[in-house]
Amino acid sequence: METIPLILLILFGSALLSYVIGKINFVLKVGVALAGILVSGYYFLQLYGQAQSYTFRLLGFDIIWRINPLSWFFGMLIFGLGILVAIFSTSYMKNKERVDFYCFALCMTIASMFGIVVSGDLLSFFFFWEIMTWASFLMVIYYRYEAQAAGIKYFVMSMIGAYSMLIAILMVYAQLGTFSFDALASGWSDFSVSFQIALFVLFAIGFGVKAAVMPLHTWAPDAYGMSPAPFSALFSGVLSKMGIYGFALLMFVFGAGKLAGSVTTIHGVALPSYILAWFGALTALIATLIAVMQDDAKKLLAYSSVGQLGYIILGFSLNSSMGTTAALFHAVNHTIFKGMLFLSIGAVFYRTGTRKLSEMGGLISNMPYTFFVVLLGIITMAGIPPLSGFVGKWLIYEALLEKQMVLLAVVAFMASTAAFLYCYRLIFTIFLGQRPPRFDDVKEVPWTQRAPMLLLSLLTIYLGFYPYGLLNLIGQAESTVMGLVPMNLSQSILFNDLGHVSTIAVMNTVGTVFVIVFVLFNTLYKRSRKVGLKDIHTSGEVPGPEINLHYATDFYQPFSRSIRYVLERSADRLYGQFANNLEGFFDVLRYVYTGNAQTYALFVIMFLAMLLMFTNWLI
Amino acid sequence: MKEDWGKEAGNIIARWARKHSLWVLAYGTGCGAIEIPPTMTSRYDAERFGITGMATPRQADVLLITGYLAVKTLKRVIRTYEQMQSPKYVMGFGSCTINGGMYWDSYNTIKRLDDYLPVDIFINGCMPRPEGVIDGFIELQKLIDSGQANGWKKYQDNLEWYRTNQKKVIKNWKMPDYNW
Amino acid sequence: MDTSFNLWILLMPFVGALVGLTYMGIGRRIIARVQHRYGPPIFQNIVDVLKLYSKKTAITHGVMFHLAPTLAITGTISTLMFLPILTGPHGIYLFSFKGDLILLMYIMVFGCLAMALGAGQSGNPNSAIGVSRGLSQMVGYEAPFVIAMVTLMVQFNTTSVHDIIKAQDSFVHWNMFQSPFAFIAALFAFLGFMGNKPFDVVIAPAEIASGPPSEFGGKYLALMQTNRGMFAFVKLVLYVDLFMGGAANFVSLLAKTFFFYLIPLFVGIVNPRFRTEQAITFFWKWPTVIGLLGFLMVIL
Repeated sequence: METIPLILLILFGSALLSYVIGKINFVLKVGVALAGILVSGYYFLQLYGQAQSYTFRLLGFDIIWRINPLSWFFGMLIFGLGILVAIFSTSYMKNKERVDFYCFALCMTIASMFGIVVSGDLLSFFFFWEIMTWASFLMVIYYRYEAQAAGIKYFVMSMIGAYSMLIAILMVYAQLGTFSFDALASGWSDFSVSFQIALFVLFAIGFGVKAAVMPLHTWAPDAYGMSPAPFSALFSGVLSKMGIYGFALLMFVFGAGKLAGSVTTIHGVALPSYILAWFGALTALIATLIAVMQDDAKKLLAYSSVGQLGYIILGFSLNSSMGTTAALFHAVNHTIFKGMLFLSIGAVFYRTGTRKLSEMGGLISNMPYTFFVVLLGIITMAGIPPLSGFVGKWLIYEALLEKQMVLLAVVAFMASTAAFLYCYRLIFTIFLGQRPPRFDDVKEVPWTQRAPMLLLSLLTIYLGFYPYGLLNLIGQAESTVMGLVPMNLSQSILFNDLGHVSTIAVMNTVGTVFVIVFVLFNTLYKRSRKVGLKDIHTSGEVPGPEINLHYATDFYQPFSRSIRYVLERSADRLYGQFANNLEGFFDVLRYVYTGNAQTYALFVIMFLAMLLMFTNWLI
Repeated sequence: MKEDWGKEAGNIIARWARKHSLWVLAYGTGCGAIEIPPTMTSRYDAERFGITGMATPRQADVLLITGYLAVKTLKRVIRTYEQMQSPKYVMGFGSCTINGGMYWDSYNTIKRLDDYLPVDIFINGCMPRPEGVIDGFIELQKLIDSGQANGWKKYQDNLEWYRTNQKKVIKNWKMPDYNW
Repeated sequence: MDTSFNLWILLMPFVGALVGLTYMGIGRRIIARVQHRYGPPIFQNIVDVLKLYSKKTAITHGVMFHLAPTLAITGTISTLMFLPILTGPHGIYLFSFKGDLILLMYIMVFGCLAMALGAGQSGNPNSAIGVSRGLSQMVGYEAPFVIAMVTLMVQFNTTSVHDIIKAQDSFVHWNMFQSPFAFIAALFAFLGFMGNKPFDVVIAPAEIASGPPSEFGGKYLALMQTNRGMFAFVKLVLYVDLFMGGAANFVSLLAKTFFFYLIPLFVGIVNPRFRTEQAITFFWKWPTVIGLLGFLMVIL
């Protein structure tokens, strides 16, 4: 049997199976789901470097499923994080309600995402896209009533995206008479300019909703926050990447990149792409500023996720090989560190039962492994060398400077600096500072949760040291699928026309200096005396256990005062007002549709009477 | 022989550095605190001897106790002293720290600071002028240079005795243990 | 890879720390003269550091607290290693051919982040307040700084520090004359960088007990003070490289870095302290506008 349908079959099958036999016992349902994901991951690995395709006819349409380096690249993210999340879930979901439901939705989501990346035609692409939306919606409303608002918001926003994508797909079909990507790629240039722009905008809205571009992002914080922690990791790490995959398709496979030839260009980038770049950059900046002010750990990560996706979109919209490489590399980075951070926040929630930053503190001695993961996670997220985050940031800035886009570069730099603020807040308020007495007995999470997080952190160290393997993979995808000339690659140095950085030299320098200083410092001096957390300078006062010395509430109050202009405005509130106005309009309609059966009966009778009158009059 | 030589050289440098860099935590307990600002600022400029004020006990070398100590304050002073890093020195300032001074009859001040903390040097007077304070610092420097300013070692060796004295006056003794 | 190269790699951190600490001593002396005082000897800061190294005890609050000074100094030395110290035929380049300006801008933060983490674990609320203020203020001065850096990078169409130095081959081509707006913007950012008077709300000894380092003592504080001296040197050399075309020998390096050291010092002597949000809004107003003027100059 062909591998692609086999993988899809295994995944969908294990989803159904784990739901059906999941009624029997816990081990079975988790086991089935995990086994399904692992086996399909194994088959997926064998697809590496192959160019398979599988075509069949359904209802008179050609359905194409194929694998190419680009889809393998995104498939790698799906299965990589998917497997780790599934392993994490085995202990996280223990003793929780409705585990069968969870396993079902998890397998469904992974299956549909894999379906999206292997789709070779718009029809199956849209079909899998909708399954993904639906499956992830199930996950958002996992906590039933409290998650209702978040679920509805997610669904409505997804609907907007889906409709706009559907219109675009039907427009393409009306023009070309076929759904296949190849036909669209070759036929794109024949469209009129306005048609091209319309397609671009409609697709961008469709993908932008999933990738949470700024005015369309409002669902993300609530949905990420509400879904169970392991799934939040998948949500932000991979599911949002489907929007990014969509942008990759739009720009380089469908041919929106060719717009440059027919419309005004700015810095060598077509105007629509340039506007998209600004959307990306402003998303990065504003979402970061909002993230700084969040008190809910997951919402903080959600807004930061929105911001990081803004970077990726910024990279794509530059329509250059450097920018695309940057975007794809940052996409991998984002998957890794958001996976780490969401999983570790999940681990903390698993042990402490709270996500409020201001309620936690001092957990470093209780959960040292989780602390280590979060530490590496925030270093990567902030883009500080020597970890892999820096490579992604470097590529983005070089891509921007290469195109001489100074203002965009400044906005991107600023967003990255502001990211330090929430990075520090995240790690400080949870793991450092004073520990509230009620968390004194908190223990480290079990190994099934530790292992996935630690694996991801090893990966970020490795990619910071040696990103060239991954860059090669990206180069392959660019040259074979996206029609770009890949960046010049070397095996030891990151370089382009503007400058170069040797990641290996950076890692070696930092490592060597640290080891030397550490060894000297610890051998020349005898061990320091360990003192308690409350043994601090408080003007001679001995603070009792009841006195709270943890500075976590309103952590960046002075900063919030200086960015209040940003915080006062909110897209969410704008939509809320719009909805209120609509409601007012519907209130007027309600005088007609009262919801009362008698009124409706009266309407029917009146209608019939009028009909009778008219027929009489006609005859 | 060779090791001794290295150690000796290290000691000389360390003593010299300690002598010329005195970071003071001025614990302004009594009226004497008013003499510290002129000592530190333009008029008398203690900074030319390397004497600087520090904000926290962790960083400071010299605990300067300026005046009488109520029992309540004594508890905080002991706590502050124990938070400092050795080698550390205590300076008693004014006659109140020597024998109670004008608070001799008071019901809730201590009379001799020496019983509770190892004072390296006293500055007498009620109150001593900035010249006196600077003179005290120079005497302290001489003691450090000759290796006689060993109050912190004395406290370490006689911790039991000091604790007994301290607990005698401080009734609600609720302090973390001090281990070296 | 000759001996002098290896020698300088070993020596440069010490030279940097000594120069930085001496500058601070001179700074204290100058402040004293302005206030009609005699002031400490100019090597006072080195004596202070020696004394701190000779402390016999130290306390720790945990792993991050213990590692923070080590990591901070690691970050600073690493930054130093990727910075061209001297240029010309007898240059000291260290590893600077293996990194560029963007790397420098990011690796400089490594040490600061480590310090912030250590301060966080000390459990002192003052430290946390200090860090919160410091990071907020950093977002403030990063705006003019980034604008100036991007201006330079776009102006010479390179991100390599070497190429920027090469472009300033003579006195009149120094960036401080060639792109004055970027220079002024960067200078404002420099005031924030150095943490001198108007922008010293981070350590503010009188209100938050010296802020982030308030729990560090003994050997930890010694490392941190060394780091402070070295970091000051790193920042000064970076600015000399970017705006004064680097230095060909040690005398000119010392002269140029001292010139840059004096600017924030003199500004600091005559100014009181900004509150955090005042500092941020200050940086986002005039320095940013001046920096944007520099953009216009480059683009047009």
